[in-house]
Amino acid sequence: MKNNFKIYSILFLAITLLASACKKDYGDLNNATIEALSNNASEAELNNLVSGTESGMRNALNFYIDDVSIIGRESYRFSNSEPRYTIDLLGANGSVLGGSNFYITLPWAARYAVVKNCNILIQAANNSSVISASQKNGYIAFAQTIKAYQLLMNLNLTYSNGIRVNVTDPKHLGSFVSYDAGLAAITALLDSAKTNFSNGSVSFPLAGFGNFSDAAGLTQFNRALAARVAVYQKNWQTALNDLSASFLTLSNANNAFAEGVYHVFGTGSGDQLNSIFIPQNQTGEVRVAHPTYISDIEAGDNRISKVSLRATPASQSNLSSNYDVWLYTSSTAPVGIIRNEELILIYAEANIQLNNLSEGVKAINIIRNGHGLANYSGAVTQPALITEMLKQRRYSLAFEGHRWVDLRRYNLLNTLPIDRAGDQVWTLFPLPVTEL
Amino acid sequence: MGIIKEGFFDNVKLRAAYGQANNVPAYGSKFTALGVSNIQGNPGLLVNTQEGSADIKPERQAEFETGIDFSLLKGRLGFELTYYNKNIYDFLLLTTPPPSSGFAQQWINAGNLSNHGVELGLNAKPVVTKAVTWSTSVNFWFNRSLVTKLDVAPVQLGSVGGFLLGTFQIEQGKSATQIVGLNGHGVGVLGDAEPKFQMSTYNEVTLFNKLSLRFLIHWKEGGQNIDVTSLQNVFGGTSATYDNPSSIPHVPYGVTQLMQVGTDAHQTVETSTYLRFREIGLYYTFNKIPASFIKTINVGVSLNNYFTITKYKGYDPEVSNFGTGFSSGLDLDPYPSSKQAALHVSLNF
Repeated sequence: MKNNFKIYSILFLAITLLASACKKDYGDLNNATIEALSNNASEAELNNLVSGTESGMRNALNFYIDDVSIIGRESYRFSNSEPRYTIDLLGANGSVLGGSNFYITLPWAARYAVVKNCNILIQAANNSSVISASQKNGYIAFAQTIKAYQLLMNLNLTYSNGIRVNVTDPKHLGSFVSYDAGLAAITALLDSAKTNFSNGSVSFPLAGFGNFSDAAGLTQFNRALAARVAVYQKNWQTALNDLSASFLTLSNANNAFAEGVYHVFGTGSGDQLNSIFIPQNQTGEVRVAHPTYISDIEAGDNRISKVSLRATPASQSNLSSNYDVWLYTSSTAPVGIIRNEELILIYAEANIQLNNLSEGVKAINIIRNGHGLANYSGAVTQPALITEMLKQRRYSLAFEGHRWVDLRRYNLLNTLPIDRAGDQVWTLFPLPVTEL
Repeated sequence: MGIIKEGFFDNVKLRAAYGQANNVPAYGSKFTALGVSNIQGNPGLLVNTQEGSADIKPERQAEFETGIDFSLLKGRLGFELTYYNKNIYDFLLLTTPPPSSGFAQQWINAGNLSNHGVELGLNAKPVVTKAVTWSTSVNFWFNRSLVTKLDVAPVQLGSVGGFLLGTFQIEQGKSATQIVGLNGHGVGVLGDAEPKFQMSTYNEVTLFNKLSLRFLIHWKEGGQNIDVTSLQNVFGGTSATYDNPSSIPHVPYGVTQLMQVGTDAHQTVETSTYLRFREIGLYYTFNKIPASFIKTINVGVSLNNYFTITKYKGYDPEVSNFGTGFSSGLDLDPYPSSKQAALHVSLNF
């Protein structure tokens, strides 16, 4: 009897233990998870999210640059294994842009992955009790600024097809908003971030932000982006106001043009190389300048150094060029996010549009002189200066993803050269089919 | 039982079986993890492309199988007939959420799937004499699948270029192996990877117990592959028919093929019927050996995958670049399957 009791009690104990052990859930033992980070993240974890966000912005960057540069007739991209660069993107043989093709699906998804990371960062910062209120504002402001920039890049591609702005809940994604509403949402995000920076402190490390790594510097970066969005919205006075709070320096002194924020690259573990870099004189994978880059440039313009003469011309599909794109000259060369040269040109544009023509000419001359050219000598009228401003933007921001967007803003896509009979200049990309 | 004359059948077996099994979800499908993404020495965490499903559970397979086996004429003739019906409940599916969610894939319990089919086997020894024996086996089988329930919108799987070049699509009420893509005026069904039926036969003919001929033939009837290999050659301008005249004057055939990309994917969905001699072997046995420590010497030649009769344009109709499962039958510049010729010598001690 006593023995029986012993056996039964051991059995009972074993079953209870087994049943309770089965319910134990350990979470993911190998990786950090959203679930874990959303629950009282440490400062180190938040900093990891910041760096992951900055790092992720570089993913699929080459596709974005190629999309904008090829349709904007800045460059050709020849590839033995990928004809869609010379067929679809240029509209050859009656082809059209397809929503399931890499040129839209890859950059689009990479940008939204960063947006997701920003949303995780915001959630993690809000739920963390180990950071101060001003630190929290700093993290949130950074996440909002980067999110706005990533949304802008996708909106640049899909234009009036729009973007989704509210993507916090993957199960209930917000609907697509129009181009104008998209720009308005991006401006609102940037403005909210600016307010948060003003009440925030920055204690996280950044890689490509140089002098703009603290709250004051990040605010200047934020306003620089806001100025870009403002000229897209034709809010010229707003653009000037934003510029005054940005890092605009009206100067062509040493490196003044290059001052700004960059994607940086490295060979370290888990780091990335510049995906846009292609060595000179390659034969298989080639990125060459559109021939008009050389034929349209003024004599003495030192921006000719953004291209490099090839030993033998490159050609594919009845297109050919003698010049390699040579803006990114090594596998760790930085890629500009926004820099002072663009801000000077935004300053010129806003002033010309507001009929402050002399101020516009002054800014244009800063650019011209900085590149070895004499002062602007053409007519000082608004249309003539807009033409000149667009030309300076073309050469100053060449191969950095601007020309196609700029000509679309001014309804001038029809002025782009057509290389082969029947080629098309596309206005926008279709939405990825997996969004529909 | 008196209905059939006693002694006609050697052996009759009726069988039925039912079983259930689980498949556990792929490792990590429960959590949304972040991966390492560093920048200039700063350690970074970037969200992975796979979205976690907190409430994912194993899929359950229930299979019912029934059949009859019998042999007659003293074992010279044997039949096996099997019918099976396999239902998979809450099958695990890798879906593609909209990329604006920040994710590219997610494992979910998507719905129910059924497979049913018939397998027929025949073993026979048609000739058994002192001089010649011939034994043969013939198998015939087919399978049909149906997605009986799908809780999400149709999911494209295992494609090279999506609708552009044809893709598999899991869709309620349709075969699990259907191929859909652009059909000239939208998106439609272009084919199905499931063959109408398959057959194979293995034969062995032996003369005087010494010379033996063995061969295995496989016939697959119907079923489509997504054949991007041929189109790749067109992209490169190196396809054999590139410069052929087309229906449009002065436009080479290859260019008309390129023009179809983007509107019509019929050219990349190709029927892969084939008849393949998987193995042919001829062997001779020496059994009267002067040396007493060797019992027999066997010499022979065999050819593997040497002959295939097919209209398929890719390298190999039996291709699968990306493994088996939902996305088999995808042809994108694979390594062609090897042909083998072998010379055999074996000594038995």
